[in-house]
Amino acid sequence: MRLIMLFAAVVINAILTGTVFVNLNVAGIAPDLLVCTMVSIALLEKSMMGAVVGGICGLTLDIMFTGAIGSYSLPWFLTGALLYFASNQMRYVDNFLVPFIFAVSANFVKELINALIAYMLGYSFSLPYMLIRYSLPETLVTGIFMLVVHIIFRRIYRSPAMRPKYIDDIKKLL
Amino acid sequence: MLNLWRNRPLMVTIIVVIILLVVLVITAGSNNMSGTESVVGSIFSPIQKALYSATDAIGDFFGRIFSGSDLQAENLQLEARVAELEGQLADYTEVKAENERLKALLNFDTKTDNLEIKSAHVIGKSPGHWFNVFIIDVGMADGIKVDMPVVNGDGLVGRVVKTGANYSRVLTIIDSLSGVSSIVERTRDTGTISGSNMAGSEEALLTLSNLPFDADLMPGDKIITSGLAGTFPKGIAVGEVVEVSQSNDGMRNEAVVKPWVDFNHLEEVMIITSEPVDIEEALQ
Repeated sequence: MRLIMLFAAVVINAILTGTVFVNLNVAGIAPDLLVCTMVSIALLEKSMMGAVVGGICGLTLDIMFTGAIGSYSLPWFLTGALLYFASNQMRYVDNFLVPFIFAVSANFVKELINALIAYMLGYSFSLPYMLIRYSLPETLVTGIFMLVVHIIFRRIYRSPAMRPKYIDDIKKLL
Repeated sequence: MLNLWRNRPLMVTIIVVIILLVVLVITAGSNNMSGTESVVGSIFSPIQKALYSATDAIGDFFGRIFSGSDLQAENLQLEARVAELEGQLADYTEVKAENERLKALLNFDTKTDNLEIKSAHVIGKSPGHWFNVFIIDVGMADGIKVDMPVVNGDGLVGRVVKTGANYSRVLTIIDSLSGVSSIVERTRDTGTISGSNMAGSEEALLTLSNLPFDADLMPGDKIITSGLAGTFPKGIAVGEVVEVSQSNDGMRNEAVVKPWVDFNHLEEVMIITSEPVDIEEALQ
């Protein structure tokens, strides 16, 4: 059941990110659903599963859009792994400020990794312009969107089938 | 150091990152679509198509609400544009006749009048703002090949960079990896158009560089494809000069060009499937 849910998370993220969110943007700014998913998994499970979901979803988008394997999967996998290490340093606190801060930080880190990869691939761009015009607004929107996503994931993780690692923390939510 | 080896998640992270970096370097320059890419693309493209068209209208609706545009001002602008176009239309017949006469004089049998075109729907766009690639719903089965030019009613959109069985990947001209040989319509100076930033936003702009030393440009100059590189037929509208500046070495002029295509609202495009015009052959 848990694997089916996580597989569904990969498929839904890949499709929504490549279709729905590229259309439902305001002035080119859209929340990063995958970052929100990874933050929720990292906080609720405290496992590397968020990084795995991010990596597989990124790989799907690499194949579909750029063909350069790693251009999406590397930033998302690395961000997911960093989220795991960060979330492991703390006990789960049922406060929506925590996922908000995690999402904002994770998205900003992901944008910096993206910039580095784009530079490696030979793209020319103005980093300050890209950060101010796109990355920072997207980071803020992702933080706000995170609150909605986290409510959904909290409900999903109430199911015993999801078998979270830190069951005691989750029990406090029930 | 021993602790590092015992930290399994950290080791996994380091190994996966190294592998992805190596694969990224290897696959970055590849133009061939692998079997895996083709299969994954074929599975996802029908779902993408349905979801993309369903959300495009909703996206447009919200985009208009949040864009803050003044509808009355927009209406006035459109009325002015209609008046301008009516004036241009009046001149069109005369210009066309003159053009035909000049072509006959030069024995310039351009093939652009007989271009073969395949229409396609956009079914997905690269997420984020770092890459400007989109997916269309036609592929090898429809006769689409790599490097075929992609246009819409406003002008040049980009070119096909990869093809699958039933879908293709298009690199837009606003992507900074894209380069298009172009001509300034008024002065006939040739240069290269490339994406000057990577954002697929309203202010996505192009840079016109590699111009002759004595190039004389001014804002409002229209830029069209030159057909010299062989990929794009001659005469496709690219954009309009909005600002003229000096290149880094201070020796040449450069121009910032606003593309005519609205890359935020691409729904349908056309792929030119006929061979590009051979300028040398046409001039003989």
